[in-house]
Amino acid sequence: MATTYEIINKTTLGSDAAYIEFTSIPDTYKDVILVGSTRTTKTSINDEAELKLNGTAITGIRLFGTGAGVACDTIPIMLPTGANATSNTFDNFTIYIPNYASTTQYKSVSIDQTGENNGTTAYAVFIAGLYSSNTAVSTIRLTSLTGSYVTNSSFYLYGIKNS
Amino acid sequence: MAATYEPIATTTLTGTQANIEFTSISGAYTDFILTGTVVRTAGSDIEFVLGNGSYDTGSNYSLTYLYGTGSAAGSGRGINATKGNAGYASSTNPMSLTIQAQNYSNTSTYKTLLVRNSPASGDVSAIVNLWRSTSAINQIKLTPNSGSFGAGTSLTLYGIKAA
Amino acid sequence: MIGNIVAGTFSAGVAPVTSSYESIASSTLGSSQSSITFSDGGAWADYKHLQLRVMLRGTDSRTNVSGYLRFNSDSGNNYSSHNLYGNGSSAGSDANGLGNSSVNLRDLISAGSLSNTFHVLIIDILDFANTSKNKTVRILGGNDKNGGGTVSLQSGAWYNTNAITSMNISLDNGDLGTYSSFALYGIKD
Repeated sequence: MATTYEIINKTTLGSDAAYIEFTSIPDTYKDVILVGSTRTTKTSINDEAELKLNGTAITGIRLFGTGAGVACDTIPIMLPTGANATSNTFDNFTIYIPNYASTTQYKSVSIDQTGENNGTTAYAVFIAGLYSSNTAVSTIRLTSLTGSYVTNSSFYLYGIKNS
Repeated sequence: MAATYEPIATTTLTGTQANIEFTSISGAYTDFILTGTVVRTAGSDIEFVLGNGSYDTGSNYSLTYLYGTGSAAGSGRGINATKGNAGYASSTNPMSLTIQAQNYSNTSTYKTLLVRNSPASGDVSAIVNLWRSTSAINQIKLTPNSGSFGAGTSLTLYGIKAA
Repeated sequence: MIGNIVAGTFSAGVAPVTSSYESIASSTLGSSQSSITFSDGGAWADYKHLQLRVMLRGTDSRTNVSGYLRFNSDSGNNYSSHNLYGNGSSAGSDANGLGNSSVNLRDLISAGSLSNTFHVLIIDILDFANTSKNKTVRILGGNDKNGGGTVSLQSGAWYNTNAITSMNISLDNGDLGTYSSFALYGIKD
């Protein structure tokens, strides 16, 4: 029986890593979803993480809450949990890329991310992104811009079929 | 027997089209998720109507939304509307869209639909729509309120079946 | 081999498995009850993540109530919550309970609101059995009442590295009403 929702690949870090990258992503699905639970070494409540598809950073809009206020900008950078958040606490995100293998249009990206901290500051983020290329997405890279993803940060790439 | 997560129907446009419909939606599932990439020919809202056998075009829709424009965040509301709303984009770039309807076949409750809309130009948003009807949803029609859907629009309706 | 991962080193792809998203258990209330609990009786062992899809309405006569999400029967002050929300007039963000006795579920619709209308929540818990991490939940949800309502992205943490073996939802006042529904899904890796 054909399955709709399948794991493509995954990793849980056994040591700190500046970035994680999925390569050679097959084009046999309709959409892909990358979910993750991460924390970085940056000495702050949060770090910043950049999403690149096929080596190109996405553009777009970011709406986020800090626990004390709301902001919106055109910097589609994720906000992973940093080292000054409550210990052993990791964020929770989903990155949805529909039609990722299209060779005739650009790719939209939708990101929901939440971090937690037993303090006022914690980030909840919506990102609307765009990969301005007609090339099928075969590589997804997430890079911590200041620190490194710590041990036990985990990343799971799923493929969604539509038939 | 319905699987837990499976495609019900899919539409991919090779040219422009005024609206997209999914009809005769099976009641065999618990929730449905309508998701994919939307391309439009002009900046616009995506609106939708729901029905059971025929579309409800009465003033039976309302919504609450949270949005970010890229420079400002806000929230708004619509009441006694004749259509639901799946978000706004200002450009013709692809936009990811997800509409979730839980217990869409329940004939004792009104229908609440949760929308995530991620245009890289326009309003990144989360929207909760209410259809004040206890009818089961077995059809949905989406229409841009300006222009049409463009080539490359690809939406799949998935059913989720609870144990 | 399907797909590679690079994090300084290469690793082999994962062999395809049967569907990763599966239903575990569900309940639709035929009458009101004070709470709902899902417990792992061994059925969760195959999964890496959990998703709880909720549609609820309270019985309290107020328009809104708050809800409590607790894990492993822990009602100690081991939780925190934060909220990014739109209330129909403004966007906001706050810390919705620090050092709390539960993850707070805020602004849930109750009996004083428009009839037949329910609040929806999609609760995602990644790595729920990882014993090196506290547990962080991501919750997308809201309700609309044709003139009221809220939509939000909430977060919550349970500051405990134990695997989650049960989860419970209750309300600060009143019961979970008839037709409230709860469906638990497991996601494999």
